[in-house]
Amino acid sequence: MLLKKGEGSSLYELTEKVRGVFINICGNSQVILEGCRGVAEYTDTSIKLSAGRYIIAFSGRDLHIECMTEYNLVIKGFITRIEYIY
Amino acid sequence: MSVRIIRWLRGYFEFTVEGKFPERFLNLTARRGIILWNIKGEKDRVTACARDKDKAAAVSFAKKTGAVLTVTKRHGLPLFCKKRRNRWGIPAGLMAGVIVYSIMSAYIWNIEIIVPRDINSYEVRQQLRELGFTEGTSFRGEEINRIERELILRDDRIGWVSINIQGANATVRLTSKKTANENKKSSEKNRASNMIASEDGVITGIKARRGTPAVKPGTAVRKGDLLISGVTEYNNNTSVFSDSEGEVTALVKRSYSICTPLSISEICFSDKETIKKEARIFTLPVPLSLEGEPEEKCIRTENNARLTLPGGVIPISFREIRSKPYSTVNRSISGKEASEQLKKRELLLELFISGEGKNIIKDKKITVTETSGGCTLKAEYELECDICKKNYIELRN
Repeated sequence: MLLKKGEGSSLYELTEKVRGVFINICGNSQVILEGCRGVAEYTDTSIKLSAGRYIIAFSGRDLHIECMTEYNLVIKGFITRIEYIY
Repeated sequence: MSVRIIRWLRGYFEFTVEGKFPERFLNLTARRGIILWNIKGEKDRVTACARDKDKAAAVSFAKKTGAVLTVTKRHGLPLFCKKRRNRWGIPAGLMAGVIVYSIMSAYIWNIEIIVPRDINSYEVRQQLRELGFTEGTSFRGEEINRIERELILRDDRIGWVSINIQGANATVRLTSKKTANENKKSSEKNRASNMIASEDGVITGIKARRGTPAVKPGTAVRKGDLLISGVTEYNNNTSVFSDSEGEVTALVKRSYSICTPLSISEICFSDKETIKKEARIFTLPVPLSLEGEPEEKCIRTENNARLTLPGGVIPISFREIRSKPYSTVNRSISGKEASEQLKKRELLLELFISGEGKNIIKDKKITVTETSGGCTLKAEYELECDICKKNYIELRN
């Protein structure tokens, strides 16, 4: 998708335009997600997040959500797998 | 860290949400702008933290999603204040502390005196006290200049005074006149000087580091004779003045006499020692012991200790005065005892003459004579020592 001039100045605007989630992975212990739509499943071994047309699933040990706002989320723990479910 | 402090200042609570789908609660709260943190999920149960002001909204969302919200713990400043709302003494004490601190910081509570070796700091403190510059007084600007001037006029040994006040601390820095003159001398560079003999003797060695030697080993010199010249003459009839430097050793003769009278006065200390302890809060003395000072002659030693903090001073000091009475007793000694005392003193004299190994004693002759008044020891030494003495040359244009 082509962006018009002045659009996409903020990261959220950009995620809205491209209809996707920005995922920032720090090793296997921390994931920062921007633009996700909500939590679908939440246990200490699996966290599933809704991203519109698909679901992003994180598997591992001692997983927890460090902080959560409307569109942003920080997951911490020992991550072993990241999966896209359609 | 700053986020944690802000959260604590605003106040927050820990809660548990139990229900069939706690994820729904998370989504609902997030969509309504409620920030959650430390979210831990278990089966049908989620624990998290949220701000105090979002509590009512969180409870209503939990109801909406068919879950039960239980507040497990509350944290933060609002709760801290609420718990202590009946303890009005704490804010009152804080307020009083701030007022007392602001009033006290206008006064001097610690005076530090930095003195050179030849001036006693205790004497300076006494003089400052006489001028009214003590702990618990307030001095600023021109008054400080006046005290500096008066202190210099009072004591001839003081060459320069500076009083710096930083908060409740005052630093008094002194320089003696002697040091000031020495500094002046050392600053005068490129001065010409000769080395002359400080006493009569026969030269044994010359080490001229700067200048021209004017004597040779074996030469007999008298006091004031030129040893190393600061004037160097060249073949082209030009001369250069320099600050001569060097060592000239010579064999010299020195004689000393020590007398010991047969009747001597001795100081006898009594075993009774009185210790007076005193605390000083601000300027108020508080006695810590019932001991008084003895009326008879005594030697007093005073110890002062001050409570200090890194970067600050507490206006509480402790003083301990030890007084030891003494009496003077006159007694007569035998001639044998007197000569033994003289020998001991002669050993000390020898140590003094050798000048920590700088001077070598080549020969010595000691005679002890006993008279009706006392004993006299005459000692003649032949020494090898440095007899150089600097003599500055006045250069006039």
